[in-house]
Amino acid sequence: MVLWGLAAACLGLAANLVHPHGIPYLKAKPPVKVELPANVKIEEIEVIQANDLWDLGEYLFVDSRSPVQYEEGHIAGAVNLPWEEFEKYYPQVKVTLHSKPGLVIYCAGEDCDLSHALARRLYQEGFRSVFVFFGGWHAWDSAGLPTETGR
Amino acid sequence: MNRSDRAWSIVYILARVALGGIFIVAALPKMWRPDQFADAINNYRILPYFLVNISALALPWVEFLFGAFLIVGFRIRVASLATTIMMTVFLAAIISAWARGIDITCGCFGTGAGDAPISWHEVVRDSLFLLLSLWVLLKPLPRPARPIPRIG
Repeated sequence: MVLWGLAAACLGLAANLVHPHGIPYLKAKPPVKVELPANVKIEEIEVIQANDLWDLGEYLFVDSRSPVQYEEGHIAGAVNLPWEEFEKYYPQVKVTLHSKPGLVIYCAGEDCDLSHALARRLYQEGFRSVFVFFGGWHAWDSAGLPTETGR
Repeated sequence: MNRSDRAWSIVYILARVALGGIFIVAALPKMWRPDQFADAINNYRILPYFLVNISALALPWVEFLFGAFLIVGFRIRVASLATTIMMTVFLAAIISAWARGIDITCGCFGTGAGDAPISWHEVVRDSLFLLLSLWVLLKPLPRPARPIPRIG
């Protein structure tokens, strides 16, 4: 059984070399979470406030989930900055992040911590007007607010 | 082989082919989109990051192989032992995610895109699959109808 299993596993690993949806064999190491000084508190907002900010158009929505989840569906107009691949994606979106006066960061929903981790890191990078949209994708999608798919 | 034995052996073959079919149907979408499957595995927050992509690439092929073995009837014991081990691991992962209350999709039959989050449905379903796999594994193989005459 072990030999058959290993043979199939090796075949799968080899197929990845020519696979149209191939992935790196080693996933990038998630970045270390940063702590902010005790007096800095990043404000959390709920779906109603998030929708108000979205309507204003002054805030850029930042999706901290993985590229796959972002492609499946995200808040309309949001950019993707996956927390787990921060170092790879940050240089690509840095200019866009600076294009709006404030950021609203979200992840899947209330039980995910990606948005908080990303918000703290972006604060450290110098962004001061940062909100965490606590309800995230699930709250936005359930409320029937505007969404998009694809990159 | 009497009539009841024959009926059971047909049920056994159907169970074996169904189990194999389940594994193949589950494997194909994951073989096609390892990127999405890697994401589904990562969401479980069980494996360390460096094992996530390797598992996502290897596991569907293992599922496919043993599923195919069960369908064609090759190395049935080996294959059903493998599917039983896999079902045990999958069930443990699902129960663990469910117990931790993390809001993720199963990723069992593919990528989980658009699926409802894990609930008791998946726990019950996978428990049934595990029982099916155990039965295929543990059922005695059909014996010859008559004792083989000893020669010499």
